[in-house]
Amino acid sequence: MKTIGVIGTAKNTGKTTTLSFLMKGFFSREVPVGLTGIGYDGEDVDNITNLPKPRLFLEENTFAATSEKCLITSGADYELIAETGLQTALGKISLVRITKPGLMVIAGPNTKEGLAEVTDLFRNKTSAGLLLVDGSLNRLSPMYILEKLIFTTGASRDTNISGLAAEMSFIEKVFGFKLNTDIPDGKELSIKVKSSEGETALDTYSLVDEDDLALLINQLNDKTEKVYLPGLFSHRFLGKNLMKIFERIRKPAEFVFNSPVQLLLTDESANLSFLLSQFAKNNISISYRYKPELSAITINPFYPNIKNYSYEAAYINKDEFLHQMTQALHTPVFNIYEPGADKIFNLL
Amino acid sequence: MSKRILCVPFDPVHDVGIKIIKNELDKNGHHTELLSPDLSPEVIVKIASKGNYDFILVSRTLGYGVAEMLARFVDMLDAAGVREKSKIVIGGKPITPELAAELGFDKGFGEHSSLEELLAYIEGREVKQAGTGLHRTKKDITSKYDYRFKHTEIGSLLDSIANKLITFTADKTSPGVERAKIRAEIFTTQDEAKKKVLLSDYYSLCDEVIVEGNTKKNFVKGVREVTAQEIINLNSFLGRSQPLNPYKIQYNEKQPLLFKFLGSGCPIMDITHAKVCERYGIDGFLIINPSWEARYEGLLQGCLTHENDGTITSFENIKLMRESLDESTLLTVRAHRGLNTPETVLLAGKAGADLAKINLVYGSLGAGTDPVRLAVDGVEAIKLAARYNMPFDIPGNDELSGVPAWKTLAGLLINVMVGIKLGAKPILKPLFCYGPHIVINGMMKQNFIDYNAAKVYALREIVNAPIWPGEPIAFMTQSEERVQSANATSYHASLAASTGVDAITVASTDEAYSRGPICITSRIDSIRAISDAFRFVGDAKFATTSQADYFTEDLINKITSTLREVDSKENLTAAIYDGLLGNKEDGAYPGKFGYGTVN
Repeated sequence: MKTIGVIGTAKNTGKTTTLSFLMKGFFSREVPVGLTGIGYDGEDVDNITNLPKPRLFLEENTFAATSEKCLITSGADYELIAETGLQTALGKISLVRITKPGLMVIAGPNTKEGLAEVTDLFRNKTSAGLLLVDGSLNRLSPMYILEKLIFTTGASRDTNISGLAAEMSFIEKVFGFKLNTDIPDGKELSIKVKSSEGETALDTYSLVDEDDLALLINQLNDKTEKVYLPGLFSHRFLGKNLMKIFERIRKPAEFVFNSPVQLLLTDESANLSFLLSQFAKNNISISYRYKPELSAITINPFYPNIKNYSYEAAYINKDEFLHQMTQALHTPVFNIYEPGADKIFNLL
Repeated sequence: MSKRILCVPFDPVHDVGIKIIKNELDKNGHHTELLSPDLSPEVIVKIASKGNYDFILVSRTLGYGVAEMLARFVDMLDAAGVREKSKIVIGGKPITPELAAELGFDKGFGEHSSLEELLAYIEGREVKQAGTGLHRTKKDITSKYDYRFKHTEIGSLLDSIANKLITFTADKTSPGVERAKIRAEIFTTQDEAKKKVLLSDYYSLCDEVIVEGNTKKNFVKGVREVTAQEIINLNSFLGRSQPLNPYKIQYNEKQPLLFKFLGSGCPIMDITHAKVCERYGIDGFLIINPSWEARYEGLLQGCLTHENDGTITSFENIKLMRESLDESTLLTVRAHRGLNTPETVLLAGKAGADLAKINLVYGSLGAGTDPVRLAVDGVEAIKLAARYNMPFDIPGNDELSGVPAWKTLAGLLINVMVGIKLGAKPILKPLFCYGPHIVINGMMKQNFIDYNAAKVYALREIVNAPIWPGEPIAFMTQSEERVQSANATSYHASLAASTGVDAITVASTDEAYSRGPICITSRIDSIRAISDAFRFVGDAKFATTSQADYFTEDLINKITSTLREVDSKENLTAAIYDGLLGNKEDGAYPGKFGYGTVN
C-alpha cells in the first residue's frame, strides 16, 4: 500500500480540493482508497474565516480513519472495521468502510506515532491500494513517515506569485538532500555525534540555546564525521552559531536531520536559506534519516481577502501562477481545474 | 493522582484565563508551572521537552495568521518528542473541539467549557454530563400568591364591579361562546355522525371565509397547510437539536422568568426559533395570532402556515408548538381580543398550553372588540381557563394607545377580581415602557426607573398577585440599532429583577424594525444581554428616588378614583363606553367587532 500525504503551505491552499480530485480519480481507476488526516477537514464552513469550504465526498468501498464525532454526523453509511485506542479532540479514531457514498469529515491521528499506527491498520485490515493523508493548515510534522508528498500552495499563502515560486523552489531544494540510514532507527531523539573514535549521545533533545550548544561543541573536534540532529532546533540560533560549530570540526562532515519536514519547521525561510548556504560553504553535507518523495505540487489562485474586518473570496491570475511555478520547479505542478491535471496520477 | 502541568500563555497580553486555570489546578492538588508570556516557541518547546509534564496547556486568542502559528508550534512539539509523553491542550475563547483537532491539539477548551470539564480531562475521568435536555422543571408563576387585597377600598370596589359584570353576562351568550361549547363537544364525542352535525352547527356560527377555508381549503391570502415533508423535516430537526449545555438566564432563583413572542406566521419557523431560544435559557413563549383572526367569527382548523405577521392559533398549530417545546417551557396563547376568545382558550387548554392571555378591558379598548361582546366572551374564556387550570395573564397594552397608567392598571385589577371570582389564577402585566401618556406628561423626564417601579409598587400595595411586566418590556425605548435595543431591554430587565417581579416578556432586538420575520440572532441578542444584566445586578437593587414613592401613592389614588367611577356605572361595559378606562383623548375607542351579536 502506497502512502501519500497532501500538505498545505497555508490554510486554503487547496488541500481538500486536491484530495477530492485524487479520490475521484483513483475511484474511477478502480483503486481502493484509504483516507485519513492529521487534523480536521471536510466541514462546510471554514473554522477560522467562515468562508464556505469544499467538502469530502467518500465513494463506496473507500476506507476511512476518522474520529467518533465525525462518524456521528457522517452523511455516508459505513461499516466498522476496527476501533483504535487513539483519541483526538473529537473522540476515538475508528477505521470504517463506506457502504453508501456521502460526505464525511475527516479527523484522524494528530501525531506521527498515531499516523504510523493508523497506517499499519490500513495495511493489515483493508484492501486499500493506497492511503491518502490529509494535512491540516500548514502542519508537516507527522507526514515524514509517508512515502510520497504533494504540496499545495496558493494565493492564500502569499499573493505574490514570484514569492510563491521562490518558496516552493526552496522547499524542492530541501527535499533534494540524500537519505542516510546508517543511524539506527529508534525513539531516542538525543543529539548524537559520530567520530572515528565512536558515537556519543548528548544529554539534550534540542538545539535552541547556549546550554545545548555548549554540550554539542564539547563533543565536536576534527575527528567528527557526522552529527545527528533528530529533534528540535532553532533555525535562527543555529544560524547565529554555525561558525562556532564549523571551527571545531574544520573538515568535511555530515549533518543528519530527521527529515526534510524537520528543516521546514520554521516560519522564516530566510533563516533556513542562510543555514543551508553556510553548510555548503563549509563543506558540511546534509542528509536525512527519513525522506519522503516530493511527488507533485498543486496550486490554488484563491485567497480569503480581508475586507472590512471579515473575509471575502479573491483570486490571483491563475495562468501566470501556473506558468511561473512550472518555470521555477523541477517537480510537476498542477492546477487541478485545468486540462492535463490527470497526469498527476502517473506520478503516484 | 496529581499531574504535572505546564501552563503556557502563548500570547503577549491575554494570560488571565490560564492564570485562573492554574489556580484551579493547584487547588485540586496538581503541580503546575506557569511560563511568562514572552517566550519564543523554541524556548517553550525546550522547557516542555526537558520537564516531564503530563499536560501542556496552551492559552491563546485567535487573530489573523494565529492558526498557522499554533499549528507550527504543535509541529515543533511533535518534532521535539514532547507528544510522546505529554498531551497538548489548547484553551481560548474561540476554541472549539473542531478547531483544536484542526490545529493538531489533543483537546480544546473554549468559551463554553467549564473548569470541571478541564479538570475531568486532566484527571482522566468522565465529565459529569447532565445529558441532553434542559433539566428544569415547569414553574407556576402563581403558586406563591393568595390574591388577598391589601387595599380594602380597592378590593371592595372591585368586588362590586366584578359581581355586576358576572351578573350582567350570566344570562347572555354569543356566537363565540356557543362555538366554544360546540368545539368542546366535538372533542369529547366519539360518534362520527354526531360530530358531523356538530361541525355543521359550528359552521353556521362562522363567517363565510372561515367555512370556505375549513371545508374547501380555500384559505385567506397567504395561508396554506403545512406539508407532510415540512413536518418530517421539523421532527428530524427536533431529534437532532437537544441542548447539551443549555444556558441559564437567571443568576438567582428570585430573578424573573423570561418570555418571548412567537408569531412569525409559520409554526415551523416559530418552533425552530423557540428551540434555539430554549437552548439559550428562555422560560416561555406567547403565541401571537394574526390580527385578521380576531375579526372573523370562527377559527381555521389544521396545521397552517401564514405568510404574514401572526401565527394561526388553530388547535393543531398550538398542539404542534406545545409538543415541540420542552416540557418545562411555558406556553401562553393570545386570546384577549376578537371574536374567538372562549374558543381560543378552549383550544389552548385542550392542546396543553400553560397559560392564556385575556384582558376584557384592553381587548375592547385597544384591540377592537365590542365591549359587551368581549364581556360575555371574556367571562366564558376565564371560566375555561379555570377549567383547564391555566393561569391567565392580563396584558396592559392599552397604555400604548395613550391611556394613562392608572386607568390601565385599574383595568388589570378588574380582570384580576373577575378571575378570582371565577376560580381562575390571574397574572398582572403592567407595562415597562415609555408610553405616550408618560412622554407627554414627563413622568420619565428624570429617569426610566421611578415610574416603571412605581407601577409594580402600587400593584403590590393593592393585591398579593403575581406580576409579569410586558409586553414587551422597554417598548418605545428601542431603536433600529441592535446593540442599543439589547441594552435598553437589558436595563428594563434589570429593573424588573430588582423589583422582584415573577416574569417579563422581552422582544428581539429587531422586533420593531425587522420589516418581516424577525431573525433568530436578534432574539439571542436580547436574551444574552439580559443574562449579563441579571448577572450584573444579582441580588442588588436599583435605588429609586423619592419620586417613585410619590408616583406609587399617586397611582394608587388615581386607580381608586377610577374604580369608584367605574363602580358608579351599571356595569363594566357601560364604564368602557363612557371612557372611564380610556377615552378618545387618551387614544382609546370602544371596539366595533361583534357589536350586536350578544343574545
